[in-house]
Amino acid sequence: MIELREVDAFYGRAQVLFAVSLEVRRGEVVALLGRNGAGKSTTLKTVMGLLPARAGTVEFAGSRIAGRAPFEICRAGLGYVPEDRRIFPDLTVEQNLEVARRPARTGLRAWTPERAFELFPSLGRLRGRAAGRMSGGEQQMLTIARTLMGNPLALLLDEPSEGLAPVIVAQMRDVIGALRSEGLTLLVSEQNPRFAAAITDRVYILEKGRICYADTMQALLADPATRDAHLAV
Amino acid sequence: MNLLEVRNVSRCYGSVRAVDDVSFDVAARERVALIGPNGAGKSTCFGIVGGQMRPDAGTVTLAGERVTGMDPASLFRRGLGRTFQVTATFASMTVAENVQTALTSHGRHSLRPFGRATRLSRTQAHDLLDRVGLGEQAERPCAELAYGDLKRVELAMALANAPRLLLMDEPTAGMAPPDRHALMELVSGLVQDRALAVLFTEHDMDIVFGHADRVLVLDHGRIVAAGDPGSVRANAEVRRLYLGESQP
Amino acid sequence: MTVADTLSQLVNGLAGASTLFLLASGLSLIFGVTRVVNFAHGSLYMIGTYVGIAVAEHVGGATGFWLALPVAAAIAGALGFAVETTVLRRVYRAPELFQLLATFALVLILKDATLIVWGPEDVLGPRAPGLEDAVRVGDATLAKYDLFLVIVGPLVLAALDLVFRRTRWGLLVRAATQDREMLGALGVNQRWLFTGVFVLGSALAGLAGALQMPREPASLSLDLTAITDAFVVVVVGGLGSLRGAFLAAVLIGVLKALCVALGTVEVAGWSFNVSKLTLVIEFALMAVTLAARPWGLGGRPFPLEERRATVELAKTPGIRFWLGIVALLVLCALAPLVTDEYTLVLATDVLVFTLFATSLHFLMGPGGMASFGHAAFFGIGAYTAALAVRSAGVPMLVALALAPGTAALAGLVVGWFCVRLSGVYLAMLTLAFAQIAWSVVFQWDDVTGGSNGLFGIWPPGWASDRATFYLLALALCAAGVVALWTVVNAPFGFALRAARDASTRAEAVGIRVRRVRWLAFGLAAAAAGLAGALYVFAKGGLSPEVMAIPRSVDGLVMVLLGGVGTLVGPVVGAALFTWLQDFTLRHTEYWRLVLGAVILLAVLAFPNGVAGGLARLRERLA
Repeated sequence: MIELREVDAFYGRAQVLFAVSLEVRRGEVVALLGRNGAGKSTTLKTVMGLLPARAGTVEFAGSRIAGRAPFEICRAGLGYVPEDRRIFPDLTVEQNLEVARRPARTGLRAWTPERAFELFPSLGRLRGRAAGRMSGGEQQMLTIARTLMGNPLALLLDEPSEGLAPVIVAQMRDVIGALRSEGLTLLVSEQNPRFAAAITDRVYILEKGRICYADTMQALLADPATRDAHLAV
Repeated sequence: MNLLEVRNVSRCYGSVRAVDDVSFDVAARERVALIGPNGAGKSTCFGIVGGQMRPDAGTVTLAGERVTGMDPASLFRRGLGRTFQVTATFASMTVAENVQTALTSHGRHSLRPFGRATRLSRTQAHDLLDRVGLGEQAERPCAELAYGDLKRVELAMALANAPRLLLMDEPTAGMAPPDRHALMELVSGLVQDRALAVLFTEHDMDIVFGHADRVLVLDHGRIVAAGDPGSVRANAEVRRLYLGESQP
Repeated sequence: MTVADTLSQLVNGLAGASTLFLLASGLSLIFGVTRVVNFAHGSLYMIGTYVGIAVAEHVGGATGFWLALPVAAAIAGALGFAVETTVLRRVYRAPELFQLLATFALVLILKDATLIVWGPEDVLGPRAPGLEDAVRVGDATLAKYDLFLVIVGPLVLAALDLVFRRTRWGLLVRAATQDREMLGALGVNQRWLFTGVFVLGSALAGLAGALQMPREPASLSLDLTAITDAFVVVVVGGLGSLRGAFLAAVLIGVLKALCVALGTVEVAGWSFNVSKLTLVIEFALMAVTLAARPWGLGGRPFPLEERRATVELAKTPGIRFWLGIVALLVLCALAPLVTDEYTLVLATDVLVFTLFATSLHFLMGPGGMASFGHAAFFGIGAYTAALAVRSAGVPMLVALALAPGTAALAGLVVGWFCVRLSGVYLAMLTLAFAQIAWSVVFQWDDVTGGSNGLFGIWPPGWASDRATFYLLALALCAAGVVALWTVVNAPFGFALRAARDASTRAEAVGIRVRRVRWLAFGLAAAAAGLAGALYVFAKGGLSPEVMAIPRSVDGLVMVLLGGVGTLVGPVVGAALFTWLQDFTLRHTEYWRLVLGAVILLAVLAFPNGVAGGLARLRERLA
């Protein structure tokens, strides 16, 4: 579904991704682990076209997307949930959803605000509230709901548990489970391995812009040395 | 006498009470962690103690002197050092120059319009960088450093005024676990050698419970629990609000 | 003054407010979505007036006049489309100041294009058919066309409001003002959104220009007066706020009307013509607004993204740099031996502007404070020197010493307000102060000679020889530039850079950011004042032009052309700009066109300025 091969990316003159290759199969939930600055967010941004890949290829659902504009990549069916909860603060919850609304894909049930509110009941109660006046957890939910309005086939989730209280993190875990059972493909970047362990099938670990580990979640859990060397447990 | 005394401090944003009648103390040689969910008021508390924000009510006392609402530069002169949640270093300078700039300011030479700044306080800067484990990187541009190393640069800068109180906003975010503990060990060393007091926020509970002498839990702008790590961890209210039931 | 007079002045003022609002709303919209401060917006307004008049005359009659309005709007919109798709699209990701340079270049190009089509003479517009006369309300005569305009403003506001609140396109535009990148990631093609907003904003400017045609002749100076007026409205109203812009336009219209209506007032036996205040009142309003409520009347603090180019490591220059500078100075000192008088005059200009540009760079580069009104300090220095010689009869050298002093004082006064702001707001406040200083000089006939200026101020006998004066200018300018460079590399310069790189962090290590910035303002102003004083003696006099907006713009172009990131940038930029201006002026009437084109090419080819570009090239070759 999502495939990166030998991708290099740069911020200005500084190289931040070095020959990153990874693959997410249809219906799979894959975690991208690593510490801050390791290149997790950068990888997701590169897939989304927000940062150009200077070398290598990025494929989505069988077609090459590297070099395409973010809006084209979104329309192709890839949804992006940024880490810093970039909601439109002056717009209401409903308007935030409306901005992202796209036509339904054939054969799939379309996302509507009502359906999003079923997934996130607390958002439904705040539908007329300016998004900037909600708590961090609510904003995180809105960011996900908003991306769903584009009826994506796959989601890129950037640190969904970052900075949230452990109680809210548990809710996020349930939401991701629900999305997975809807058949969505997910690539999740995460710093919190406990959170990742609960939701994912396979794991890639990034260190200094390189993939340094790739295996199933179980294998990683059974390998405390790797876990301790690379992850913030 | 406590080094830092915060008494009945409040601060509102519009109708939201970000910090609501908060009081706490930090003694010399004490490491105090301030934890709580996002939006609980940790950053506002830090801003008030650090001088970035003014409280609407209440007082802050540092080493016996009322410093409520005092600007950060004056607090620096009175022995407050701080690091920020989002690392903020001087990107157009090298690592050493960052620390030198802080040292020059401490020596009150910041307004000097002549003489080469790069020649001032070089050895002291290198000493501080050695102390935080960045001696090798001294001549590198700050902009090139990894996130975790930037946190160390910030720490070195925060030590430039030989502070009595160190405010650290998520000091170990973005570091690998061994580095996290090493950094906190380093801070603990400073606490012993220099009779420092440390007030820090942190999301990593291992760091909080492993390196704090006392823990304060903030929720909706109020302190809901305070005490030694063991008792806070066992507190039912804290588990419900913040830690969640699954937390071991 | 009667109630009737006041009423007709008020209607006149409100009519002006309507066109001002149309103009400013376009600028505000474009800024809100693209974050580009489009200096060429005033040029589109100017072209709107010219096109409107041309269509009205060509078609004739009532049809001609009323057809002229949509046609002018359409042509301005089309021009906006061309500008957005060919130039601005390429610079959206560039640093703010670099975008400004691109739009300055467009101002120059569009001005000469207008000159080519319509010639240098002002063109009088037709009166509005059917609305030529006035209605009498009580004793007051109210022009019908003015009344028409008074209605147009609120109508346009209501229409725009409807579009932004009720349509999906409007919703997307509002989302774009808050987070453009995210909008793209949500599947919205922001390219066309940007283009659409740009076309709408440009069309509003064109319409505003055409609506003004019965009130104001078309002239080549409309572009800069329009853009400054629009800036004031946008800043007072709050960036991106349409209602705020409307409120601000009305406020300015009413204040101006009151000034005119009051006429000459006598206070304690001292008579003062209040109507002269019309030139400064809006800038005074802007200064007050920015000082009290920096985000304007319309709303909340605006999220200004940090969009500086990747901050480059600034290296303290070593011995090789200084040896190079000494060699360059020796070469310059030998120049009189081999060059003719004309070249020496030009070279003196280059020296003066090198110091001027370096002083501006000191604020913009290490200080991170872009001043749009730096010519004010140049002018204050120049007038100090001129008046000291003319009125007090002091020798030239004393005058040259006094000038930096008064300029520094002015810098400290202006700086006191400015250091409380940052980014676009700061730039606008400096612009406001410069405009106030300019209009004081312009109107104070008795002392400054008003628009004629002061002439016959030449160097005394010992320095009257071109070569001697050139050497004097070389010595003083080099001293000024080296002094500024020394400060940059001294602890003060590091404190200034620290404040720019991370001001919260700088405060936390004890650097008093405002104080450091404030002193930097004084220092930069002093250097600019010295340059201004030298300019007076080089030219034998001065006029208010020395401190008008175009001079400030010249300074910005020099700095940006050379590159903000390097110390020698302004030197290269000033030399290049002065030489280029002189060269094209000698060869073509349309020097602005050539200059604009060169700047535009430079902008597209060297995003880091010429000096920065050369350094980059050297790095790549090494």
